[in-house]
Amino acid sequence: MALSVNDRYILDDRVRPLVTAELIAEQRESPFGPQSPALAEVMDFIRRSPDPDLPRYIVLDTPAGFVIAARSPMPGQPPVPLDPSVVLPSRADAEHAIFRLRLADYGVLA
Amino acid sequence: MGYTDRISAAPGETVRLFVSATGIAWTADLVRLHALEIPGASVPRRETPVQSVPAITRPALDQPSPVGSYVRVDAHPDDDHPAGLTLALTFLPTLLGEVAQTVIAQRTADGRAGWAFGVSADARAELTVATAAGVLRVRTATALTDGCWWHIRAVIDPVAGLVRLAVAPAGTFESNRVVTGVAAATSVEAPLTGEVRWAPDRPLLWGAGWLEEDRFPRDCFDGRIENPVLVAAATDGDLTGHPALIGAWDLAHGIGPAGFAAPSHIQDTGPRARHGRSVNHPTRAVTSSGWTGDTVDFRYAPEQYAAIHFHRSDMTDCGWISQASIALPGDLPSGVYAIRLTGDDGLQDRVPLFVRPPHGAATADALLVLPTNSYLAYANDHVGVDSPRTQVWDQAVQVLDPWWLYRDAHRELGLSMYESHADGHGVCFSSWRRPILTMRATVYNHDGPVWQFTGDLQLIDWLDRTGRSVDVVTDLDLHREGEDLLRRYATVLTGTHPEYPSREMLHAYESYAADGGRLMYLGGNGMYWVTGFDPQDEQVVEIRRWGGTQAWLAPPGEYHLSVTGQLGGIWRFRGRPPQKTFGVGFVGAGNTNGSAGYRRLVDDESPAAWIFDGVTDRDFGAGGVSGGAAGLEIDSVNPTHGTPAPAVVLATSVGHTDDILEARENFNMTSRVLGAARNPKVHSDLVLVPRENGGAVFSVGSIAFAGALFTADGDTGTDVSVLLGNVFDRFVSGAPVLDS
Repeated sequence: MALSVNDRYILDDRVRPLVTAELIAEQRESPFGPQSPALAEVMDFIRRSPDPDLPRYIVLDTPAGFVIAARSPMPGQPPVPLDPSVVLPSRADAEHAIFRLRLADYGVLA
Repeated sequence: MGYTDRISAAPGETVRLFVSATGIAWTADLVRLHALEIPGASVPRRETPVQSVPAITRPALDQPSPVGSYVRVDAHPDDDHPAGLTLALTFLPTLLGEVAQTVIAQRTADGRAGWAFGVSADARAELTVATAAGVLRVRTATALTDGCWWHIRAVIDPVAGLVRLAVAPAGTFESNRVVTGVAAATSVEAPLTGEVRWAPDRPLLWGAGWLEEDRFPRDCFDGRIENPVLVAAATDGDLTGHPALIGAWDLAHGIGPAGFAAPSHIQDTGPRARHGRSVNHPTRAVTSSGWTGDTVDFRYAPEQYAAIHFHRSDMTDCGWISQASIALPGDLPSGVYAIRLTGDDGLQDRVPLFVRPPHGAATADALLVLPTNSYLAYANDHVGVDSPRTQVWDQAVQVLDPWWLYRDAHRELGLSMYESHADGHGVCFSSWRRPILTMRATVYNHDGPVWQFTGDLQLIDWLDRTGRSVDVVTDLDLHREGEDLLRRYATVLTGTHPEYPSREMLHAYESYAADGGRLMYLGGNGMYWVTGFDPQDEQVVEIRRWGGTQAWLAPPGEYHLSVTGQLGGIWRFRGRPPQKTFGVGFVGAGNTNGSAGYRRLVDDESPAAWIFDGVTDRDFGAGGVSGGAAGLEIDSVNPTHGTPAPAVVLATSVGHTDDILEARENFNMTSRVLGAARNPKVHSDLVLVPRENGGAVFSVGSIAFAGALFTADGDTGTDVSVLLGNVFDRFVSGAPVLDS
């Protein structure tokens, strides 16, 4: 993990204590807002991709539904689906799935 | 996909078409665009085939594009150098590592003839010479430091039978990125074990090693070159006065009060006049090794700007083969059209084309100036995919549909002015000589659900559906023709985000309004960035970002446009804040969650109350495609910045969230309260500015305004639509804008 000293502090001392079952439920209920200040802080942290070594997720809009992919580190190269067989029915579902993936990437989700 | 040789054409003119297609054949026909589909907003696409233009079918050519800027000095038979060759130049690499790059060369593609100087993948200076015994490489032992200037002298001496490369740090404190950790001067030499094989039939290239098929640059360079000198002899002495001088190129030559009159011309000051020509717009008016920091205007210290900056990702002309032209009928109405391309493999594309009225004539009472410079600025942008900040800004993960993926994969079509090259230098140029895939019917969902071209088509749709006729022209038409073009009309409308005007365009708008014309500024964050047209090719524009709310920042000392000499940045800092002419100026930007509606401020007794005829509620405009009529990027009045005293603030937006943030140039000290929810400065004003001689300006100060012209069912009965119709009709009628 390549978090800076300050991002490590932010993750451990601010973000990690905010992540509760209730907060995760709030994100599922309201993936595009409005969101509580606690959820907004968590979202702002994980969305700015503070660790460049971790995947940067995007969503592919396919005829079958929404597929989660990781952006290629090379600009212009196609994103790589995590699992093409996993097709989510809505954009909100994809947003929540990525939220959980990111929490897991940062070791915040048990 | 395709592009045309111009974005604006008059009836009767012929437009050349450039197409790249897979499959066996493609067909082109002309359609008029009345509306683009907006999914989720009940706005269907409406287009009408132009039957009087016959369809064209041609065999498909899958056409690649040359990427990377370079300078070409044509080959000369004398470039066979029996007495040897000496090269001296100063250069600054900006992205060392990973791959080898060529700084200057005259060689064949296979490397079996010619020579090259460049940097190796491990950041060493390297001279390569082709000989009968093979390729000789001379490489310095210590690594170069990027962002720092280096002076090199390379000697190929067939008589003495050796090759020598000397490298020394150069540059001033100000011109170098760092002052410590820079390697000391070094020199290496090696014996020539075979006869040198020159390449006199190949062009001398700067910034590239060779040209595949004579037009695709290879082994390109990220960095700067300053005033190279070549002598057809092996010498350690004076070069520019040497009798065997091949060329001494002066990159400051041609700098005048209006910048570079011929930006692509590279002057050889030697007797052989072997002038060069730049391709794909490497950046000029950049600091060179002697920059002292005492001036930031290249026109006043040209010798400190004797450099040119190449990027491996510069691309301003696809240079495709044109297989067809389309002759526009002489009676074709002014409007927004597209050349519809259909491949036999089922792929389809629509290449926009704006048909202006006949030269010197008006065919409607009103004119819509489409902000084509803004389309250029955002052209093919990949920010939504590349930038980590995007997901924070949008507060959502990017969703890529097949069109997004397609255009994301076609980086060879060049970057937008919202991106930086790999070396961190901002993209200063954008060009029409390439497909601009952000100008397509597909919804553009990074900055907003509709944006720029798709946003402006909402105005076209509304005007068409409400029976209001307009002519259309482009920013370039206005730049060329000025107020003469505008004064043919009772009313002139802007698009939704006219962000990139030239001085000539701003002058035309102001003169028109002052002379009694009536302007309708129908967007947000308009008239913002100083923009210049390349005097050699007006299909290309240039900006330098500083002082505004900006995607990148120009390097120190490089705030002036090379193509005009003008100070870049935002017009406000040139004494032309948009408030002076349009009443409002940029105050905030954000995503659709931050949009809001307006609250009416004038009562029924106001002489401007007519604007609200049919608008019954105090609060209006809370809906629309972008979440409200006031949103995305918004403007407000500011007397300090020039809003005239007679201006009437008709309504102001209320209820924004913190997703709209204050523009960075509008606060001085860092603030804790930047979001609109608690920051009263961040709001949009609807304003009417009565002008002298019966003129007037009506401004909406919001990009999102046009997205509120329709109900969720797609009808044109919204309060915003009624209000805009009132203004349009009154303005066109010529009746006073203030009731007595």
